[in-house]
Amino acid sequence: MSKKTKITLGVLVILAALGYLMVSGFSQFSAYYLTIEEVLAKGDSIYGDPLRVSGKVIGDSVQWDPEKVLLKFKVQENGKTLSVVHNGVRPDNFDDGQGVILEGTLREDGVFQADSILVQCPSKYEAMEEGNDSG
Amino acid sequence: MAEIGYLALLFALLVTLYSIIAYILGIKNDNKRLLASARGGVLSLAVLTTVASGSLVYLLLTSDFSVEYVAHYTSSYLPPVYKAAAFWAGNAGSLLLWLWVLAVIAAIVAYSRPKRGQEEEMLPYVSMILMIVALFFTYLVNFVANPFEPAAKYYADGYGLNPLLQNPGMIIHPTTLYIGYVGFTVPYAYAMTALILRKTGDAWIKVTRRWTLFAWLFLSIGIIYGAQWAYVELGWGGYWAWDPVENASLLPWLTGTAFLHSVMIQERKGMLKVWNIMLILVTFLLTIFGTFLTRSGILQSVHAFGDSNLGTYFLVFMGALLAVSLFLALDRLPLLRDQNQFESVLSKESSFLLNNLLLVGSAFAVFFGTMYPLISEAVTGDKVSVQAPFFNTVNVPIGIVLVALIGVCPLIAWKRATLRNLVVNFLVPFIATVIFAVAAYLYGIRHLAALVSYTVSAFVVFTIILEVYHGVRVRRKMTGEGLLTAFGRLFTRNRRRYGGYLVHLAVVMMVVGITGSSVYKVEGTASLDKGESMQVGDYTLTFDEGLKATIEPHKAVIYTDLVVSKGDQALGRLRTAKEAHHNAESLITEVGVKGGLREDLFVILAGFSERDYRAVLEGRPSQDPVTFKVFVNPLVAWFWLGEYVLILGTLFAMWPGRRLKAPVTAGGMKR
Repeated sequence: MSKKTKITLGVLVILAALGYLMVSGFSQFSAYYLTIEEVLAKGDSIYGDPLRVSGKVIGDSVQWDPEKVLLKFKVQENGKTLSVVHNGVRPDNFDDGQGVILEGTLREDGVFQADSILVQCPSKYEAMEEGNDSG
Repeated sequence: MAEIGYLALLFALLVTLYSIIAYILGIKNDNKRLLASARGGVLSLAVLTTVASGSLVYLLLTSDFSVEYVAHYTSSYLPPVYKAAAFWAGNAGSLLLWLWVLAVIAAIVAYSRPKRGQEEEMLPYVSMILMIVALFFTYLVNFVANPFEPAAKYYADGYGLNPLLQNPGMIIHPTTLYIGYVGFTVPYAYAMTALILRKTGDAWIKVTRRWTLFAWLFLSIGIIYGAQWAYVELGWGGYWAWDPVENASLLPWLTGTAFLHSVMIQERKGMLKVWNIMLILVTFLLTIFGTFLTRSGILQSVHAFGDSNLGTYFLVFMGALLAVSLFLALDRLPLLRDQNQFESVLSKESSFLLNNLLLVGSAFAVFFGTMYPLISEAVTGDKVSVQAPFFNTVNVPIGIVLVALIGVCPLIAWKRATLRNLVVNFLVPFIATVIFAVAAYLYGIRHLAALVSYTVSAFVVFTIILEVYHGVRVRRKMTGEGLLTAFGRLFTRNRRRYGGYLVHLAVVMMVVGITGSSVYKVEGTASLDKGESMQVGDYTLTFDEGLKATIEPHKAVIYTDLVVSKGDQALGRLRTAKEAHHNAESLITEVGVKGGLREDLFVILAGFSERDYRAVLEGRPSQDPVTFKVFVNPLVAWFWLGEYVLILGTLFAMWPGRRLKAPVTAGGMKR
């Protein structure tokens, strides 16, 4: 085998390893971005799959149990609602109408088990920025 | 004052246009006077953008709310230092900062004294390219996001700066990151000049070595300082979340690091020419892409920057740059033939090749993962995203192999390493490493990734020590110098090499910190009544005082001072707080951190009842349980310490040393 072939082979092996890492990473850890409507429509076909769902918090539905560190609430979008439980702390600024991105899975009882709650930046900074740029 | 800024930017646009045209005509007609005048244009741009920046700072400091930008990002009560730092709080100011840095760098380049010949010939082209890049930003700050836009309405006071940005990080992180980003424009401009002039040797690499190191250094500081800022300010217990904006800053760092290494191969062996051109092109484009990602808001990110139409401009600009640069590279392809070929699979050259493949592979994975929601939506219609676990799965193995390479590289000879040479060189560090691994295992490090990571780190440290030891010994034999003199001169006479070793040591320190804090992180959450304690790791935290509040003019601080002890040892009190700022709807978490080289105790005041919130603000005692989230993050401090060693090492490598007559051989160990 010539030097060039050896080097080429080596490079190919490394690229294959990198490719394998990526593919296995994607297959293990990719999560679908779904709307609440899609989550409800897909129902049992997505139980247990990693999902990302966004919605707005319904203020009256928030139940925060500090003793158990358990948060229950509902999110809604376009008139559809989804019940959520989160074994964790109630995020700051968790008020009615707050946009959140939930990461987690849909349980068989139709409740969304959120592993993490990302509170979309609430402040007026964002809205202002948009206003600024259109001007 | 706003008029001055406004006019300065307008003139900046004219001057930039003039300078570009003057360069083109001057180069075409070989008109020295025109070229000198074009160079004057570069200096004028630096002066004008300095005036514009100065006037923006003045407007911010004097709280001139007749300017929209000032009203949006500051308020009259803000501490002066954050008023000034609000310069880069929004799109318009950030772009001005970018332009300003670029203009100053372009002026430094234009007025540098090149060596006669090739360097001198390249300079006008380089300046022209820098001015073309500047033109894009000058256009943006004039017509798309002008920081001097008058206020749309009357403001009695400004909105104030986002409380999250009111942190020393706001002063250091954006500026260093932007200096790093912009710095890569210089090697890019030289690379393109080399293509235009068909001077595809290593002249462009030699001239830009310091610029590349400069850009890389600032980019590194920017990234690490950003991580440190996120650690104390975002309050989720970590420093890196693989957020799109974080990834955007990492991408050019990865390819830039690859470039830093691969140019050495071109310098020494005349190889990898096409690769180097492509690497610097990609790195430069990624710096623009990074700005685009942060400033356009096309991807969801924890860092709040708004959507805007800036994105379109950036896309068009990047597309044009890519097209022109690729055309040039393809057209000059026959000139980029390598002068040497790889002689052996086992050689220093091939270890550099592997280093590059891994760095670029990592960059590709990070890029793909970051853009995956957009890509998958375009391809399949479903928006699919990947989170931190994906990035970790891909990058941890890559990182470990890269660190191992740091150790291997100095031990392999150039051209072709023989088996004998390998055995001789590797024997001592290998045995030391094996002993270390066994000791670490017996000590209790059983987690596979951690054990591998620490073992590999130890291997690198051993090889560096061995390299220095041999260097000192050889030097003493040759010169008869004393131990310390030989040690000192070994470093100062081979700045590039030993500066590099210092940086490698810094990388190892960071790896140690990252490994410790991610593998051995301990966390606990508990809601405590007054008088109760919680246990996390070896720490006991007691909530004995209840919640308290201090009310300042523009914020209220709800806090408690927990009693902390570790085992039997009392460690005093640690404050953890939430702040309510008048200009933000949400509460801002101010974490309590008690840290040392061994570990950080990281305490978040996670939640309290609405009733207690009102009670403590009115001076009454709290009564409900309060929730705390506690992390013990081992070895985090080594990550930050590594940053300083990295700065030291890079500066050491950049520092102009004595010009040596004979090239220093940076080969494998010689016996």
